[in-house]
Amino acid sequence: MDAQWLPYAVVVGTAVLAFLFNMVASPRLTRALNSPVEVHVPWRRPRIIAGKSLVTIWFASAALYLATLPQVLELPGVDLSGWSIPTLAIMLLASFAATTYKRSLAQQVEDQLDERELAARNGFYPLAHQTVLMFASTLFVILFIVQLGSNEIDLGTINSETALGSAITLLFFFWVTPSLVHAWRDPVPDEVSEEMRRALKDAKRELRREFRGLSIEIDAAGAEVKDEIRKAMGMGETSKKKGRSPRGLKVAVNGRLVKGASAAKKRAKPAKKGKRS
Amino acid sequence: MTGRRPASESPFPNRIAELRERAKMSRLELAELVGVNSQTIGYLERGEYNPSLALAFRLSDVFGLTVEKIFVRNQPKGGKRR
Repeated sequence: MDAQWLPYAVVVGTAVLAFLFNMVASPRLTRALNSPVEVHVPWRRPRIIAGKSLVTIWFASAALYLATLPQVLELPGVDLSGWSIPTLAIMLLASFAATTYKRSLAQQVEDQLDERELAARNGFYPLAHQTVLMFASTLFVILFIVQLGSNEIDLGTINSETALGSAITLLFFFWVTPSLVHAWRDPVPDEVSEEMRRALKDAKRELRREFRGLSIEIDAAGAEVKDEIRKAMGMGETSKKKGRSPRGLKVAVNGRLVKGASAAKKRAKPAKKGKRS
Repeated sequence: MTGRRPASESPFPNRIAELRERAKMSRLELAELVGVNSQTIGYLERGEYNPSLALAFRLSDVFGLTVEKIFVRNQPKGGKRR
């Protein structure tokens, strides 16, 4: 009967240890081992995707790792034991990435944070611990119900490898969850620095000004060329100018007097048709 | 972290961006002057974070204005306030 309390003791013990680790040891350890790895992507979307996918990878690898442990998931024809070490490695890598993600706020020491960051960081911990406790309690209740339903699982004979694997996962879960919360709810700070934005704006303005200056020069040059051509035409063959009747002047078409050259053309068409027929 | 919302919806909209632009300061410069991260200035300008009194007074010192002239109080929707 006592052995049935083993999972509960593992969960609670891990919770207490992780809580103590996060509250006491983690900042000191972070100060000593704080990684300089920083995600610097100038666009908002990749950052969000990076954070959320990191969390997804962590949960997926943790779930798969748990499933590979003996006695956890036994399906006919399925052997997951080969996945145990790769998934554990992925989980550890994801944990490292999450805790160093943009120098994750969750793992920063207090004197490196300003008041907003401190408030945000302090918000991650209760939420993270609440999430973990909810998750662990739900899992425990489910296992308890399953155990009540069938007497096939004997908690007293749980493989030590399974117990150790579960404990490792839970411990990492507790340690990494605040960083995972940060990665998931990535605040997406200023992606492009103010200086860069200002420099881009200045460059655009400069280009526009130059373009405007160039177009004015081109217009002026074009006008000069047109004037030259006009002058040349005027001096040479003035008589060859296209003869257009001035407005209001009457032109004789088909024996009738009509106003303007365009009207004269319109009137002239039916006469041509008549000639052909 | 709080969700993103327009600065106009913030209960305390502020003129930090306008004053900073007028003073020809970058976010980084202002952040250094008031002793916060430059991202925090972005949050303040977007109305996504309300500063502590200490930070509000530091900002008022930098701009040479009173806090009331930097931060405005939005009238609550339910009725008038004295």
